[in-house]
Amino acid sequence: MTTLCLVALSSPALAHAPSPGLQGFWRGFLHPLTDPMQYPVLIAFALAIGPLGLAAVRRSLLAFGLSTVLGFAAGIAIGTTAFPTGTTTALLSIAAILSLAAILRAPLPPTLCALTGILAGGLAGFANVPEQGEMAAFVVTSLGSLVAVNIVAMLTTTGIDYLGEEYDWPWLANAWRVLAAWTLAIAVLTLAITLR
Amino acid sequence: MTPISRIWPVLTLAAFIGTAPELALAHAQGHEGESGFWAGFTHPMLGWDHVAAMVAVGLWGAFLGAPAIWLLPVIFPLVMAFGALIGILGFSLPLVEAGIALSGVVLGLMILLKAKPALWMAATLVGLFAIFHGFAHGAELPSSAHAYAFIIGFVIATGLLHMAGIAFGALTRWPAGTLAVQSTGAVIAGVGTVFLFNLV
Repeated sequence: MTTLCLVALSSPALAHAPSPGLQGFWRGFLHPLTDPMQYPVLIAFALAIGPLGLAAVRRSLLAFGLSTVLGFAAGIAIGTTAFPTGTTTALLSIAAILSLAAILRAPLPPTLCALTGILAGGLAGFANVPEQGEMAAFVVTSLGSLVAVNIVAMLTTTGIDYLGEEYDWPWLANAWRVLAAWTLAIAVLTLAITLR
Repeated sequence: MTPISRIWPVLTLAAFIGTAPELALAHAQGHEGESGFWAGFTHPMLGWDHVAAMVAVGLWGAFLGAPAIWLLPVIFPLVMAFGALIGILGFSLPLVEAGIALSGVVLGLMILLKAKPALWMAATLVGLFAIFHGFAHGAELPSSAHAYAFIIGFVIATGLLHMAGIAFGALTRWPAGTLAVQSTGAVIAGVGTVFLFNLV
């Protein structure tokens, strides 16, 4: 549901220039939702972690949330424009690996769950640094982006966990695998056209 | 049930409604991403040879039962991505259109005859045909920024066609439904044959 919402509502990626006030927050909020490079990693993260149970979800989301801030800080310090293709390549590669883990229904141990959150969150934070501008506008726009990636990660991951725990649908686990296969296909093809 | 799980459906709905105004923004700013997605989404839908083969994958999976019912729709997009990769990278693949048409013929016949080969054989057959379908999508990929949305569109459309086949294949639990599914297999094989003979 959330996946389809994101795809259906996608518009041309907005220029990620900071704007002041509520509009800036909203523009920042929409940035990860309108960037096709970020869908696969967010969805793959949810598909890999969501079916593993609440403990794994909590651990991964905590790591994801903290890492978005750290990744964002690294993006400011290093400058994201220095590695435009590198960031995209990393995002899509992680998406492909996580999708594969979801297809294989890999029982990730706690350390790997946390590592997954760190990688996905760090890259998502790094990819959402706005262009330079007035400090106040920069802060609110950045805040919007960070809130958005964390809300998407939380909704999708806990959503998958919720459906698995609340409903005894035998087909559900396989539905996640099929969705992971779509995500893997999208990540590989997007990676191909990025690198060609 | 945990508090966060309890509020999840509400939050999803809120996210949907909250993001909905972006639709209007997209129209105001242009149709690039939207048209790319739509072009990709309709690409497998508008070719009868593609539609027939995609639905056939789902139908055959339903006939074969678990684990083929979910394994075939997993294998197809993965191998299709490989085929598309070949197309994107500019390699050539002979007899693409014939391969696509043949996929309809063969998969249609499998459904008509209620064929139940070993899982690895079914997976190999479906994977082989997926290369041709993927190549066709990859070779026709737009070169602009629309390509990203196009990819998302055609992968989702392909998957939804599989799902449609699986849903229709659920009729096989009744004798009349089995007959309907077998008849659909015959139609798919017929459509594939028409496309094949137009080519050869």
